[in-house]
Amino acid sequence: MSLNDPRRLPSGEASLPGWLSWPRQAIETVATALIVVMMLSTLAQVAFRYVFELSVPWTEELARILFVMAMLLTMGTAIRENENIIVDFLLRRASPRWRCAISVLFDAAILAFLFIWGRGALALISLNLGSTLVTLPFVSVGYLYACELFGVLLMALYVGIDLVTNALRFGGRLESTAS
Amino acid sequence: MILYLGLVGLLIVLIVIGMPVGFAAGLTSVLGAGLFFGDVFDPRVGTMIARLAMDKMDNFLLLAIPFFLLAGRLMNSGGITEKLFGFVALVVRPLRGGLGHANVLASVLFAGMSGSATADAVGLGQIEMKAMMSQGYDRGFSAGVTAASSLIGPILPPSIALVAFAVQAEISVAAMFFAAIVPGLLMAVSYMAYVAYRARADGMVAGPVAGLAELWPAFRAAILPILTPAIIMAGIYFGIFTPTEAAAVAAAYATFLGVFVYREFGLRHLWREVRGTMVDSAVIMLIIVFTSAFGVVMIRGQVPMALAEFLTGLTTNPTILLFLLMGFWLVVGCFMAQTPAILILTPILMPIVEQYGIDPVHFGIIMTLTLTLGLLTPPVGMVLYALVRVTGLSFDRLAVLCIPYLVITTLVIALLILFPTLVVYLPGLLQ
Repeated sequence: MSLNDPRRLPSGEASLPGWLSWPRQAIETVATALIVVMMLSTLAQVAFRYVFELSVPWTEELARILFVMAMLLTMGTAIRENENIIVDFLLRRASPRWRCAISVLFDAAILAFLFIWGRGALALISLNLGSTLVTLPFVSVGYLYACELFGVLLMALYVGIDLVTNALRFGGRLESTAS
Repeated sequence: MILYLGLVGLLIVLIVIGMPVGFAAGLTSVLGAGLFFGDVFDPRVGTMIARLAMDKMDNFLLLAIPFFLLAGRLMNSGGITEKLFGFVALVVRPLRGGLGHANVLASVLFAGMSGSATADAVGLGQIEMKAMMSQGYDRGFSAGVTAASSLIGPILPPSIALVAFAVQAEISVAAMFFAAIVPGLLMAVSYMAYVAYRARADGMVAGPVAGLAELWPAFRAAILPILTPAIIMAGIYFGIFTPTEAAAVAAAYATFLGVFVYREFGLRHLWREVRGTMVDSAVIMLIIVFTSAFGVVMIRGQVPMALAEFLTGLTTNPTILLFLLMGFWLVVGCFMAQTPAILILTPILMPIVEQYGIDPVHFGIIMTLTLTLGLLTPPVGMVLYALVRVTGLSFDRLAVLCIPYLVITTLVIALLILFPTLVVYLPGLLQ
C-alpha cells in the first residue's frame, strides 16, 4: 500500500463497492460529530470551572472516550484515503508493477497484524463488560473495546480491498494508476 | 537481546521500504511481544496490543493534537495569513530587505496559531513569495528565507511535535511550550541577522516608514489572530486552562474569527475542516499507539539499557552525548518526518536521558529542533516538496538555497546544547 503517493488513486475510493458507500459516510459523520462533542465537552469543562464555579468531573472522561472512539473509527478512513505517513523515497523509484507487489506483501502483513489486534480486542470485550467508567457509570469499558474491534475490522476491510486491488493490478487484470 | 536488536533493524527496514510507519511499529511490536510470550499467535499478544492501544489513546493530553490541528487549519483558511503578512510587512518596511524580515516575523506569528512547517510554507509561503517577487526580490533569496522561516512553525508553541514528545516522554506539555519560546525566537533573530547581511551585501534599499494612517487599519485587521498565541500561553501560565483546554479554546477562537468576525467560511467548510483534522489526528494516533507499544517491547528486551551502556562507553559527559545524538538525529531527519521520528525514538532514548541526568525538557527541545532540519534536507524534505510548486524552483535548487539557514540553525542548536539555561529558564518559572 503506497500511502500518500499522489500518483495513485486512493485505493478504497477507487474500488469500494457502491453498497458500502452510505455506511462509510455514516461512520465518518458519526466520528466527526464525536470530535465536535468532544470539543464542546472540553470547553464546557472550562466554562463550568470559571463561569459557574463548579467542578464537573465527567466532562474530561466524556471527552476522552469520545476521542478514543473517533480515532478508532477514523483510522480506517486514513487507510482508505491513503493518508498514513510513509517514507517513500525508495518506493517511488520502483516500477508500478513492483510497487503493486510490495503493496500486496505489506497489506498481507498488516492484515495479519490486524487479526492479532482484533482478537485481543474481542477477548477484552467480554473481560471488561462488567466494569464501568468512573464518572460515567452507565458506560461499560467493554463498549470501548467493542468500538476498538469495530475500528480494527474497518481497517481490515480497507486493507483487504487495497490488497485485492493491488493483486489485480499486479496480475494485469486492472489498469495501474501509477505512472 | 540480539533478537530485540533485530526487531529494531526490522522496523528500520520496513519503514525505509515504504510500509506505513504506524503499522511497521505495530507489526514489530507484535513480533516483540511474541518473543516474550513464546509465540506470536499466543492470545496474550493480542490482548496486550489491544490494551496498550486503548491505554495510550485514553489520555486527555492527546486531545490537544486535534484541537491545535483544527485551529491551524481554520486560521490558514480564514484569510488570516494575508492580514498577518500585510501588517508585519508595513512594520519592517524601513529595514533593508524589509520583506525578508517580514517573511521571518510573519512565520513567528503564524507559528503561534498553526504549529506546522508545511502549513506555513504552503499558506503563508505563497503570499510571501508573491509579495517578494512583485517587489523585485531575487527568487532564490525569497525562496530560501520562505523555506527557512517555516521551520519556526513546529518549534514555537503551540506545536504538535512538542505535544508528541511530551506525551511519549510523560512530561508536562506546558513546560515544553515555554521551553520552546527562546529557541524559536533565537532561530528567528538569527535568520533576520542573515537577511540583514544579505540585504547589505546585495545592495537592497530600505522602504519608507509606514505612517499611522497605513499602520492602523493593518493592525486592526491582524490583531485578533495575533492574540491567539497570547491567549494560549497566558491561559496556561496563569493556570486558567490546561494545555488541552487551551487547544480547545484556540480551536473555538479560530472558528469564531473565521465564521463571525472575518466571515471567510461557513458551517459546511467548518465541517470539512473538522473531518480533515480527524483524519490527520488518526494518522498521528496510530503512530503514537504503536511506537509506544514498540517502546514497551524494547524496554522488556533491555535495548535502551544496552544502548545506554554503549553510549557510556563512548562518553559520560551529557553535553558530548547531546552532540553525538544531534549528529544521529540529523541523519534520521533526512529520511523521516519529524513527528514520527520523535514518536519512535523518544521511548527508546528516555531511559538514557535519565541515566545521564539530562533535563528531559532540554533534551526534548534539542531533539525536536534537530529533527526539524530534516524538513529542508533531501530526500524527504517535506517543506522543499511543498515549496517546489510555490516558488517555481526545482527541488535540488531549493535544497542548495537552504544550506546557509541549515548552518545557522545548527549553530543555534549547538548554542542551546552548551547553554541549557536558554531552554529551561522559562519552564522553571512555571513551578
